[in-house]
Amino acid sequence: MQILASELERNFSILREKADPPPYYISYRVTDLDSGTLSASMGAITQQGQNRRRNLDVSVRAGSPKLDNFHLLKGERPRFTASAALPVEDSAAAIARIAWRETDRSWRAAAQRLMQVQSAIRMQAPDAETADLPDFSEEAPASGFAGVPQHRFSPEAWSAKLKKWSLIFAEYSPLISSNITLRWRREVRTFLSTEGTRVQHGRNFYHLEISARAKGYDGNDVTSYELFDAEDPARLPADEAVEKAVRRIGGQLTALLRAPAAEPFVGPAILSGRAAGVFFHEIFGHRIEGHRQRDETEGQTFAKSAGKPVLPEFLSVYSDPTLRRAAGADLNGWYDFDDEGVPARKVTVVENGILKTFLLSRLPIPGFPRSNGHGRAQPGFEPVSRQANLIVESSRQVSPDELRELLRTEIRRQNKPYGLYFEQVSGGFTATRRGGAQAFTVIPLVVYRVFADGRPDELIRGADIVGTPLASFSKILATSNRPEVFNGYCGAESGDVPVSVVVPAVLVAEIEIQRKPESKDLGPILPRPPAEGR
Amino acid sequence: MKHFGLVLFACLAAAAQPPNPDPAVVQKVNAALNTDPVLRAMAEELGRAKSLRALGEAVYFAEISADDAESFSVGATLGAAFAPQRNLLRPLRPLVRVGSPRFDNTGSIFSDFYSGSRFDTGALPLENNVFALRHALWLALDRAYKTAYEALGRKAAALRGVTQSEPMPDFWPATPVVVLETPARVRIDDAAWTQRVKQLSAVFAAWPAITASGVDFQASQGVSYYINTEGSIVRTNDRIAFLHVRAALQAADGMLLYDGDSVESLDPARMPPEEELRRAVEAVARNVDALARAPLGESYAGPVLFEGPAAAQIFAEVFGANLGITRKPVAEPGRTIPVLASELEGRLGLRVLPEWMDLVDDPGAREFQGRPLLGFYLVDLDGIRPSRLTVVEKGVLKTLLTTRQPVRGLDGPNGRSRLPGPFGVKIPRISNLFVQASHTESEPSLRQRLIELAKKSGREYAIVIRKTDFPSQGSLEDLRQQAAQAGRSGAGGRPVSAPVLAYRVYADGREELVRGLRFRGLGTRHFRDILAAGDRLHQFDYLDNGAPLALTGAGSYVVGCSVISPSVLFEELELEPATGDLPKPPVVPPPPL
Repeated sequence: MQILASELERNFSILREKADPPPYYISYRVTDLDSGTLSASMGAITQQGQNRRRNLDVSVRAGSPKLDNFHLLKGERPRFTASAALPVEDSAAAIARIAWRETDRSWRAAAQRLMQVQSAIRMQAPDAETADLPDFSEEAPASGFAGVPQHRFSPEAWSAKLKKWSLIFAEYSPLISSNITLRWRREVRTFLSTEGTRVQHGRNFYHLEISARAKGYDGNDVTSYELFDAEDPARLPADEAVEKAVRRIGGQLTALLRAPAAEPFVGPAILSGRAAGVFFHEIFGHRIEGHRQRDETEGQTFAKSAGKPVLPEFLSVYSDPTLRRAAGADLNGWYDFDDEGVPARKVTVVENGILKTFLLSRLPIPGFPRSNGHGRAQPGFEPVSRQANLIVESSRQVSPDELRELLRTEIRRQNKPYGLYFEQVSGGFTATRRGGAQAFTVIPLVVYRVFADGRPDELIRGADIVGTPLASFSKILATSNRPEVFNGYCGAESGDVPVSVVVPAVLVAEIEIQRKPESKDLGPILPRPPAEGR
Repeated sequence: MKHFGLVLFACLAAAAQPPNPDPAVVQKVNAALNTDPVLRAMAEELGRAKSLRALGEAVYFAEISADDAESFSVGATLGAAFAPQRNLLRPLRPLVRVGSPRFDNTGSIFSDFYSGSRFDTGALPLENNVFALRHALWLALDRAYKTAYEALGRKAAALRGVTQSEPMPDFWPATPVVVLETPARVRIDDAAWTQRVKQLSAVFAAWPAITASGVDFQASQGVSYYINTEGSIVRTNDRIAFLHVRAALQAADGMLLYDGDSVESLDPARMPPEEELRRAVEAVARNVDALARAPLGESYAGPVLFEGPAAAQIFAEVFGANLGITRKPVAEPGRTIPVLASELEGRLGLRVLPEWMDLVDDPGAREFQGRPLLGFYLVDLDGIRPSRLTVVEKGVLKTLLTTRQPVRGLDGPNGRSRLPGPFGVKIPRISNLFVQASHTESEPSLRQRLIELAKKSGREYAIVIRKTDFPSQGSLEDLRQQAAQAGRSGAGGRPVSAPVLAYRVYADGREELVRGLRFRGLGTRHFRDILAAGDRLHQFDYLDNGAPLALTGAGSYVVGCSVISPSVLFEELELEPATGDLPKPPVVPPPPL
């Protein structure tokens, strides 16, 4: 920190004096990562590795907060940092030299783009809404140091367990490939800016992922997975819970191979909490990211909706990057400071259905001049506004059983042969840009038909959800009273960032599915090799 | 167990004409199959894969290549280390051929493409668990078969509307081999190397003008496996270690200058002593520092002397890649394929060097004048034992380096498959290339001739080159600029690494280092007119990775090569200054060291 601070000040003062155009702001962002992976399949370790590295990201702003080199032009997303590797030893000579080199490189890029911006905006008719908006918000400098725990963790102990668990999949002969992977990472983030911000903070991530794939005789691919995330390895699931999950996936895939194919259907459905989590993240979460409201190439679904209803009135949505645990699980999306050095804080995005604000970085948007601590980035990217922990609360809550009963009532009311229960969906992606269809894609993996007459649920395969975002949201009828946690990684213009969604199961009046375009290629031609040596 | 091995070998060999197996060899194979789970899993799954014909195309040949490797790497700058890395990896490269040797699925741009779902990971499990190994091989061979089937159809379709001038077969026959080395690992002292790399990188602390510098050490060792359905079984120890140094700075006029060096060894435990490594690091530091103060070179056409290892470097660069020959992949008519043909294609039987020069490629040589050679290997990637080849005899090109992909004018593979390549075809490369001259003269006399040549044509100076940037230490950006300049300069040809140490030699023998020079269209044709060679031989070792200019760090698969050459004098070569705008020097001076 001292090494970087003095190099930051030295570069800034000389550049202020001699450079043309001079920078008005420089930040140094160092991410120190200590990570590892251990993966097993069919009883043997397939991947193992540990990795320590430090990256330096230098962001330089030239011009003025009113108009600088980050100014958005036709959807172009400028990047000035190049993420240089730093030695893991605190050597002043080595670190200062790399910081100096990167500052020079980043300033050159910033100076060049500032001139492009200045000439480009003279050619454009001013946009009434964004013309007076500055490019960089004013924030008070922050300081803070939060220690990052060093957990006792032994990959060796896990290695034997992963091997044992991965061999359970061998009992399920239709499975083609399967994998159990444990990833761990300790992150220490250091952020310094010429405004005087000095923060250091971080956290640990432990992630256990169990997945398996199979292929039907007709070429249809089926997949199932379970994820467990924890901040402390002591809170990873117990051995029995993992074994149960492995068997659940094995049984589920075997059943999916025999399940009837989905038919096109429009009607009521329940989304489990973790399925609803993906929906909220994709359909809703990406559309409340502030920078999209200013980028002319974006759809700006909610840009003019502040103060207006965007969800049923019994729903409220918060983004709370200060929340570390919810519903008995550790959350992926918390942090102490965002990647622009702004302290994290809880933000009420939707209150009783009414949109209150957006997730904001230091890029001001109409009506919202300040950051609310959501500028995030993967090392190597410039921060933009991103999701953190998205928390959906409902005042129309019923027990899970009652929610099922409501679904049956809705099936009868709509006079449908059945309703749907989405237990598991894949991570999805969403198109928010204007050119796109403003649609989202979430691939349902495990879906059941639910019958009004109380017959047991019927597993189906190959369902594909069709629809547009806003429509799906107006049709939420009720939620369960049991929030569930979905932890994941969200990839967008500023790279991958860890996120969470906390949401109960939701009942929607109408969802539309079609049959998934199936792959037709054959599964393995030869039978699997025998499991016991010989 | 023993019995099982016997049966297996019989079934492996049955695919080809079962030779009269030598009982000693059979016993050796059985022993290996029974004690080596990787080999056994490979043999069992390859045996099963031969029966793959569900889609109506039988497998006529299949092979599995795999490496069982452990690697260690550590880097440092100015005495501070980046975290050391230790990795285990077992990359897997299966290949299935359907059709027939006359026409199969390889050698087309579709050869590596499969449109269906992929279940294999491209690697073997890291443990010797036969079931897990077989499971991975089963999925890999299944995809290889489907890829082959799909490629064969698309290749046939692409050729439907085309008349091939002289169709060539797709696969040359080869004799199966059994080579089974006993796996053995050497000890690599991670802590000692980390310390050594830190100390070596600290050498640059004495050179404050150098803006970026680094020293990296990498060692990789393990076992390479190869088996095919013709009965070849190969297991060899495969090791390599290298220390890589790089330094860069910006001259006062803004020109970015860099230099680098590598020291390699086929035995990680026998790298040269630290003193020798330190000399290499110091030389790099001295070179860039001297370059920063050197005047800019000017356009030049005239005699050029490659002195010392620079002569071996220029042979390595120009002949190393051009002596190997692969065919242009089949594509739909009208589609352009970015594959550079060898400059020596179609030149068999023609003179490519002076009559008094030979080129001999000798993979069996382990050392030269007491110094280890980097190009030694027992068996190539096709499972073929290479032999010594006189590639150029009395100046005439006699043969080229071949793999099992048939090429015009030659009649079989000569064991030079050294790099994995695209389209189901491997890439041929040199091993230990000896440049032999029957007429030589002393190095001082070569220099004298150089000066006289310059005088005779009225030039103020001649050029001596003592080091080139091959394999290139440049960034991708440097490479792009060089390629762009080579394209613009109108001289044609492939880009050739720039000289690093080029000197003007004046009539009185005085030397002056110049910077920023590039060769203008240097290619094999210039070598025909080499005027003279020195009487001392110089060795140059390097790692080839198949990338343009063998760009350092560009490929994940490297192969060692050595070139031994005398200094050589060219009557006329062209050099030109690097063009392009120079970046301004930084506004902020560097921090103190």
